Amino acid sequence: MQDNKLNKKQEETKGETNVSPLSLQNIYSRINISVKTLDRIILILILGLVVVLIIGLNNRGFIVEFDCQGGTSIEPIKKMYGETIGDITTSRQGYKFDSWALDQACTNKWSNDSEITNSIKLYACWIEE
Amino acid sequence: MEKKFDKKKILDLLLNNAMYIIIALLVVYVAIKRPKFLGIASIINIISLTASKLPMALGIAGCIVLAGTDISAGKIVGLNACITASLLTTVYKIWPNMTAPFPIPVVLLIVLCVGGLIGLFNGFCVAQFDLHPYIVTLSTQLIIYGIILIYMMLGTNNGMALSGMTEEYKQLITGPLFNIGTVRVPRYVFYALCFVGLMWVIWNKTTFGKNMFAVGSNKVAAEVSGVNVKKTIMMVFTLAGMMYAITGFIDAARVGSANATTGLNYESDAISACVIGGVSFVGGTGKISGVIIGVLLLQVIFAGLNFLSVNANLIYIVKGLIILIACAIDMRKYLTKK
Repeated sequence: MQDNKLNKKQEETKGETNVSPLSLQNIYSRINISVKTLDRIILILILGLVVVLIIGLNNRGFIVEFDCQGGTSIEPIKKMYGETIGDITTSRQGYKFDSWALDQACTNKWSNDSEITNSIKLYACWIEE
Repeated sequence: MEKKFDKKKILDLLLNNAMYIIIALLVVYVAIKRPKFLGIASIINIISLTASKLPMALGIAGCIVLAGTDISAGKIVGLNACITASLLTTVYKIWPNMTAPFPIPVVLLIVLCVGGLIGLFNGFCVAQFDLHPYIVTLSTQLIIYGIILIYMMLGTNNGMALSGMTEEYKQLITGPLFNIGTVRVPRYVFYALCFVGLMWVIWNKTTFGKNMFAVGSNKVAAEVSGVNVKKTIMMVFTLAGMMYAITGFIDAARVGSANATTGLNYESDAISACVIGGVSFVGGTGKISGVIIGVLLLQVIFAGLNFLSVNANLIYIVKGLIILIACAIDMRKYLTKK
């Protein structure tokens, strides 16, 4: 009896031009592409990925930007994974340089010995003299 | 004839597993160039990153099993991260009238409600109005982004990043679960495992889970069999919304701050992880173990590229290509089965 119900429902939906938008399987079933062509597309995409990786490996390095928040500006530097920023400081009239931080409010401090693991922006933290 | 058949079999094997082969080769390359990549610290870092992305991937996997998608996921994560950061903070910028941070369970409940409601809205639009999930979640994504921008301008914050979370909250999420040598495993790894267990039970041992697969496989047959298709769709999206909310709740502590761009492009990682792990866009197919493997493999790729100091901007291109390759392979598997 359930088979009859299923057949009836499928008959009802057969004539409809609006297929259920939830089901992507209808979109897949309408694809008119051979497996061979799809294989070629996959290989081209993989080749593209390899090319991008090679380009990436030849241009390595994370950019460390400095927002001196009123102090003497510092140009961004390039560092590799695991390196530190070293003894980079800045100066500002009437203030003493405290440390670098990952946020403008200086709640997340960054030590000069901390290892770089990504491109970051460091904000200068100041103590009023 | 036999030789041709063998060649076809090998080609099938290589192409269907192309992603795994690429990842294996990359791991070998990185391990040779940077042996520290296979060290304890690096492995725990990869496991931790996997754990942080897992709840979201588990949520979005449900939407993909329904043969749909959810591109509002990242923004839901961002919104809930911002709400968490604004309520569990020692610096009252969004709500200057606050005198103390909210209790953690209350904030968790708030974000679950927010995430769940947004998910329910998504599911409602998809189920009741028969709108494509891509369109619905694209719209929701933009609406939520607007809400985030407005929320971040409240009080005295003026759109700045929120930080200064309470020590109790940070300890709850990122505090040490246990140490392996000098490297500590954060607590959210344990929470992620709990969610994996919960989702496995939901997917495999509940009527709702069976209904989800039935609707994803064949909506018409499911309806005829007595499944409340609309209710199932709404519940899947609601559950997904709650999982995104949990991800946001964890992320605010893990990252240490939240801003308007928190959660940006998270959904692309989650979707590609699901597809790599075998959750097909065709619908009705997927395993929790597949989702875990997909997320883990993706984190291995990104951690490996990070170790090699590959520019983060290039990694976006890599991510896009990985999604394309994973989808093409998914399509190939469907066409060869046909």
